[in-house]
Order: sequence, then structure tokens, then C-alpha cells
Amino acid sequence: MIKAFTIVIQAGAILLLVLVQGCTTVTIDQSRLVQGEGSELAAGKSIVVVGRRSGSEYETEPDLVSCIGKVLNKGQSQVRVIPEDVFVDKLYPWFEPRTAPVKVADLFRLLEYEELSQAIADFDMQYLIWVDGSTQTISKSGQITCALGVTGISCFGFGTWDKRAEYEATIWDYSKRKMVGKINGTADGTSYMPAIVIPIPIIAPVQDDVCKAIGLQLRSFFKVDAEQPPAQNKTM
Amino acid sequence: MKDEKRYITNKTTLGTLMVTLVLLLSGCATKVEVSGNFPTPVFHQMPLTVGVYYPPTFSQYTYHETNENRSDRTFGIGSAQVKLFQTILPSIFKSVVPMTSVNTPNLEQPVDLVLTMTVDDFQYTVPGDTRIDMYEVWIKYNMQLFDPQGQLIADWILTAYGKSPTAMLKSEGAAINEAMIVALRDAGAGFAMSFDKVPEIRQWLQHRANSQI
Repeated sequence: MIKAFTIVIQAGAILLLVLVQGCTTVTIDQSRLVQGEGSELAAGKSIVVVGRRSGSEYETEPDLVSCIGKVLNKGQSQVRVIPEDVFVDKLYPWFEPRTAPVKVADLFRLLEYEELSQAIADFDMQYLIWVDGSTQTISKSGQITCALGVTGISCFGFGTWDKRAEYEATIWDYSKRKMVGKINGTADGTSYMPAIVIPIPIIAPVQDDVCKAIGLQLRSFFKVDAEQPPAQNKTM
Repeated sequence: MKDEKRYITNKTTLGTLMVTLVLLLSGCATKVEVSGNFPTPVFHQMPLTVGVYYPPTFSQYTYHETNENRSDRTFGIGSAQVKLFQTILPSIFKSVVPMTSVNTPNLEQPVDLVLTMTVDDFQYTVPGDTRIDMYEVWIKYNMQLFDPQGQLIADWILTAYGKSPTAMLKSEGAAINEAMIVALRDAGAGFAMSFDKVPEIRQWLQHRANSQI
């Protein structure tokens, strides 16, 4: 009887886990720094998305950078996105945390090195996007206690935590040799973990949501899709 | 018969508990043999033939945690360091000759310079040590450059730093390995960028260029 009850509880928990997600509020803010000029992606050209890793107290997550690349690459009109690790490895040691160009002018100063200039030319890159930021846990509360009993480990309690994902994507136009735009994305969300026999995490996917929002806004910036989503402030 | 069965059950339970306890206790010790790949640098090769000697203190360097207030950790960095320099040096210099000591007279291939290095200091932090959720690694190298006659030309410090954020389902060993690889890449970048900017080396290169005119 107890075993059957535990199985029902566990099945219900797994179903809840699949169906329920915590809520996230995403804010996207775009600034186009070069007015009146087209920022369309030319046919056959590629985009590189790279994480800034010079912050001392945080690290721009490689997962987030690759997620933005995937969103850029989705949809009807696919964009050629060079994976971060391929780009950084091919241009080693010029895009390491201590050597990466901070300003557009720094990048073009580096191009005086013939070998580097040729290696970058091989990518046929039109835009270089720098992503800077991180996802942090802002606050935590609650308590979950687990104990080993006759039927196995059982837990009881409730936990909750707030997370904030805050990123800035800076767009450099390689062909025009200037910074052409910035997109700031922020996502706030609260995750919950009620535990009745087993803990049931209801996660607010703040990083995933901010990634999708920035990726879609970038597609809009480059006018990749016919219908472009406007800059938005929405709850997902 | 029933008593015997109960005895076996108790023995099995005790055994399971012991194994669990051993596994939990062994979980406190971290042993990492750093492994990873390093990219070939895009660099303008210097027209130099450089002999390289990796002393055992460098090629077999292992860090053992000696602080009793910290968890038992062992990091084997030696082979990864050698792999880094074996990858980057041939892109920086025209030719690289492995050597068995700093002073190896009568080499089959004459060299312009002999490079050697040691680890001066190694430090790390784990998320519990600081207020940030990050594994961090600092390595301080002492680099030395000799002429073929064994005369010291330059002696300089090369520092390297690497960090890796914590992530769900990422073990401490994997996170430390990641931070180490970032630090070693940083060491490679620092070496490539700063080699000809070390004053003594710059002076030696200038002198060599003048004598070849």
C-alpha cells in the first residue's frame, strides 16, 4: 500500500516536473548606434557570437553564448553562426580573456598581423557579437529536510530562490569597422521546490528565456525574418 | 534458518552502509589529472632555433593540498603544461629542439637559445572559499632563457589565471580541470605575447639583428 502510494506520488511529481515551469519576466532593450544605415546580413556572410570573459566576479556562460547562436540559426532564414570555441581556438591567442580586443579599434589594430588578418578573413564574418553578463542567484529561502526511512529517502519542506540573468550583446560590424548596436536583456524569475516525499523542482528558466529573447532581437536587428518582433517587455 | 536469513540481511545492510560511507568519505578528496587540448597559435614565427628543457619539477608537477582546513585535493598539472608548450612553441619559433638539460653541448642541431621553466607558485579557490560561485586557478611560472654556452640571458615571471563557473551536475574535478585549461591557455597567450617584450630578450634580439647586418 505504502509502495503504491509512493509510486503514485513519484509519477505525479515527474508529470508536474515536465509540465510546470516557474515564471520569468524578460526585458529587452535595443539601441541601434548607426541610424539610417542597413544592418542586413549579406548573403553568405557569417556571424560570430563570443562571450566576454574579463569580468573578475562572474563568467559569461559558454552555454548562454551557444544558445544565442542556436536561436540566431533557427527559423526559416538560417544564419551562418560560427561556434564560439571554433572561432576562439582558430584565432588563439588573440581572443583569450587577457588579449581579446575591447574596442573596435583594437580589433583592427590586431589585423596588422598578416596571419591573424588571414585567419579572420577565412571566416567570412560580417558581424562579431560580444556577449557580457551572467546569471546570478539573488536570494534563497525555505528549508527541505530529507530522511532515510523504510521506503527509502523521503523529503519534506519548501525552498524558493530568485535568479536574475543580465546580459549585454554588443554588435561590431566587421565590414564597416564600427560598433553598430547594443542589446540588453534581463530576465528575473523565482523557482520553487516543494518536497512531499520527493522534491519537485519548479524552475524558472531565466537563462534560457533571456537567451531566446536576445537571439530573436538579434534576428530582428539583422532583419533576418520577414516579421520582426519589436523591442519588448514581456512575461514568459 | 530464519535466524541465518536475518543475519545475512543484516550483514548485507551493514555492507551497503559501509560502502556508502566509504563512497561519501572518498567524495571529500578530489584528484585531478589535468587533461585537455590546446589550439595552435596564429603567430608570426620568429627566425630562431630554440632548445627547450622541461625539468622534472615542471613536467611532473603535482599540487597536493597541505592546508588541514581545506579538503584533500591533488592536481597533476605537469603533463598538461608540457603539452601546452609543445603545442605553442613550434608556432612561435622557426624550430624547437627538445633537450635533456639546459647545458647540452655538441647538439646535433645547433640552437640559438635554450628555454626552461619551473612552477614558482600555484593557488586555487573553490566556491566555498570566496563569495563568488567560481573555481579559480593562479599559476606563477619562472621562465629562463640561456645562450648555447649556458649563460643566462633572461629570467622572468609569467603568470596565468583561469576560472570556471559552477554548474548543475558539474563535478568539482571537472570544474577545476576546466579552470586549469583556461589558466594554461592564458599562460600560452601570455608567453606568446610577452616573449619579445622582455627587456633582456628584446636587447638580445636587437644585438643579434645588428650583428647580422
